[in-house]
Amino acid sequence: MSKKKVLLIGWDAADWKAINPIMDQGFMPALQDLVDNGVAGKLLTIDPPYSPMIWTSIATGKRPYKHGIHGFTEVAPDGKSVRPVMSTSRKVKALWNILSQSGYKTHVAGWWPSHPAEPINGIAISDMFQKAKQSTPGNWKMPEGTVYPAEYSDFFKDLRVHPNELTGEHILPFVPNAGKIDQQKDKRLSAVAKITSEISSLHAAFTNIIRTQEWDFAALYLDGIDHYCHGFMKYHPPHRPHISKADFDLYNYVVTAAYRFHDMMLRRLMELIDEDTTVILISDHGFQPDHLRPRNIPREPAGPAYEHSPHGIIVAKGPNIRKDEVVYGASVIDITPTILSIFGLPIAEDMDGKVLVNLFEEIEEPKLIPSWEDVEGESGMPSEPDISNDPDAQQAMLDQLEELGYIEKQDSDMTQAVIKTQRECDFNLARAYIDGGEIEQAIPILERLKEEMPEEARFSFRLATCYQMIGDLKNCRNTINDLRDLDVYDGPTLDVMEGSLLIGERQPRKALELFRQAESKVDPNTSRVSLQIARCYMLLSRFQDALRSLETELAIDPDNPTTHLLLGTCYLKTQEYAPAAEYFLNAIGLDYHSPMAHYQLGQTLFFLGKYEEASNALEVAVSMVPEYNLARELLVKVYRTHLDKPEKAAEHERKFVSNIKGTIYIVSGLPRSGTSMMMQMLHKGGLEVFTDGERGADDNNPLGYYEHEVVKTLARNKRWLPHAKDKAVKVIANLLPYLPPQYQYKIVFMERNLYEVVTSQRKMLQRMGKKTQKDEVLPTRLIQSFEQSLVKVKTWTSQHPNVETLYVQHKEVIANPFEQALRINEFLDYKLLPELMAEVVDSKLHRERTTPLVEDNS
Amino acid sequence: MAQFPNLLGLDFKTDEGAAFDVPVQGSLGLLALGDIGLMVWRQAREKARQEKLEEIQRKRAEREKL
Repeated sequence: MSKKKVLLIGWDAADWKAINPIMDQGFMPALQDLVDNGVAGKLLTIDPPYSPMIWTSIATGKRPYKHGIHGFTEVAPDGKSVRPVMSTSRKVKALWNILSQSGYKTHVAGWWPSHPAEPINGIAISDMFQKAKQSTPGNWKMPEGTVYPAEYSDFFKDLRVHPNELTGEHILPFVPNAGKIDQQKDKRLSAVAKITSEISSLHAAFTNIIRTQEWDFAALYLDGIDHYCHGFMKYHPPHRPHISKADFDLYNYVVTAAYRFHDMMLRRLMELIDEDTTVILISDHGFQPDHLRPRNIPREPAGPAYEHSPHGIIVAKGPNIRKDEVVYGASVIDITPTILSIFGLPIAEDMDGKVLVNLFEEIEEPKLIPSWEDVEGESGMPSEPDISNDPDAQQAMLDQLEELGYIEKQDSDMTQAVIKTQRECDFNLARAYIDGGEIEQAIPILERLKEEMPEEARFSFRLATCYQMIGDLKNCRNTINDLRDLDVYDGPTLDVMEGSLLIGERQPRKALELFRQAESKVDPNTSRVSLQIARCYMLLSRFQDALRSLETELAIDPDNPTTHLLLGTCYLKTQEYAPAAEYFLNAIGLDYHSPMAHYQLGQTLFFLGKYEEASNALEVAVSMVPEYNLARELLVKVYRTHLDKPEKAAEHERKFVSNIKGTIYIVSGLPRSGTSMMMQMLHKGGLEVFTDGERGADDNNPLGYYEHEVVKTLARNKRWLPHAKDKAVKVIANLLPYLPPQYQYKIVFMERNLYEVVTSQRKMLQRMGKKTQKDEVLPTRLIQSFEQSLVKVKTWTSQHPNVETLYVQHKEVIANPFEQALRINEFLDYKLLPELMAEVVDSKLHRERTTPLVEDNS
Repeated sequence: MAQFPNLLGLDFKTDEGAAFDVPVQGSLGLLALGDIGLMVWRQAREKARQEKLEEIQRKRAEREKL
């Protein structure tokens, strides 16, 4: 059997949008060959899109809050100084550690961060290797710990290329008119020389390793494309009005040349490998080459990262890799599990990524272990927390990060520098938590940061977003109001932010007003205001208007999957299934890992009568989110009713039941049907209630309303549901169909004579000073509408296996409270004390009865 | 690690198969070749330097002879 080998190449910031036009001109033949004979696609990044964090996630399969790299710099272990992040900052094993301890010959060069070089089963060259700050070729030292094994240091030291060693022959391909530049005034040529020499150094060392050493796994990371792009993408064609024409004429070829040079290096690597090698070329994020790149970089730490785009690249070619195929749904965290699977090694359950199964012609079911951290062996993982203390080398790296704009100018007051660095790491950690869906972990960090630095708007902005995500709209609004007081953001930016909050509060009309106000004042390329306007229209069921706004957004950015998803949703709502399916497919093409897109595609195909295809789409949705019970429910229906696959239906039904996360007790009904009274009965009887106490008792409801503001957002926001587990929560009848199928619902549904309901509602409005119809006018149409809505809700409750409903007549509760309490207690599995429940009922509260109480009691 | 032998004797060819003299000024193509390209460039540079040095010494010797 041939020996499995993997070559992993990292091109920081490589982006298909930049590559494709260059490749189409025939300037990247090596990459073209990989694409034509392998699998290519987009690689989704993580947030924050900061390279040391992402490349560590790539190498570990874990998110930053697990691997411990939280930025470009960190506070040194002594707590008194700041240093660049290092290999010793990483808390978990990287791919090269796992492969080393599994007996594979493993080499790695230039990975960020990787200094000091780790004692792996092969050669490690750290990311300090190529840095040539403040030196000449003659006195260019190499920091201790740069090369492992150390005895190879002198050999590799000579393979470094110093920027001063380069000649015009190396620079002219990037800047053909370099001769016209006054280099005393314009330092940009030296930036080209520096980047070119650095990547050439690593390439020389790496080619030597794979040419002369035995290996199973070899990884090379080059930061060149990122650095060329940060310096020169602004001059990349087409010329943009705010860029000086003279600068454009001089530097417009740098980015193209950078990609061509990388392709030349790639070609050499391809010459050095054999047919048994699987090549995987990736980038950690993209780099906006077009109008979507911000014109101005925010003045905040790591501001240049705003130029990054969320999609990097992935290309793979090898013996078991599919040919000329597109891969969807790949993320940076999937790389390590995928490479482990190529070697037949188990995937750890504590990894966040998955195996990219659609890369391969054939693949065995990956084996699983709880964690690689517990597996003993010579992994080369540094056991000493800090073995590298070369202040000169660290300073050189800090200087470079500062030059690139990734870190702020170093504070001469070290105490302040330490505080600032820790704060940035904490902020990045909070962002990583948000990106990983761990909102509850992010909030306390952001609250502390906001308290420490109230004037730092980006902390408050993220905090407000978190509050909105968990449905804490009150704190969200307070945070936005604080931001308004701060006067840091301009009015339109805050209007857009507040508009998003209003969408969360399901107040689309108000939101629309704010978006309209802001529309002409904010940058449409970055604000996504048309997308937000479309969301408002969708909430208002104005789907044609929403479609128009989405078309506007599509013209700005045709590659935004959300726009395609919303277009699909609009067409689905208007029952135009053919275009709906097309847009859902587009959305999936742009971001495969969207369970909702697969589910909605499944729904659309179901309506089109394409049941087999619908089941495929729904199967993808549930494979991504096994708890996706909505999709499972439809799958059951498709398999049972349309595809005659009862065993499949039964399998999904079982999973549906096992997905149930707990029980929520719902009190529902029309407004003024006695729901508050029932809530109080349950509370008094011993059931915990989910309320915020915001709406206290008044003349209309002397017992209080027993409501929670967040429940009103149920249609859009379901994050609060875990907090309502095992509690009683009041949900108005019309919102019941929005309850997600992840919980078991026991619904006590209050029924009351609709004339009484309408009368009570009218009186309530009158008490609130609002205008109503005259008392003697019977609101027939309103009553009919309530009747219809109740039919819909009752149909819904009867169709879902996770919903049990007890209908309770309001008049019966008033008339026979204890009897009804017994009945309700039985329904709720005898959790309550019926005597106490009955004590709540005050017949005097029954003000809008249709007949005298005496008769009711009879 | 094995030291680099003299690479100047190697037969470098362009994509079109033409003979290729390693330019003293170097090229991106040589850097893209990795360690071999870098080393052959340095050796060519060193050879040119030596030749220049020898030429200077030869001219100096000729002058001294005169």
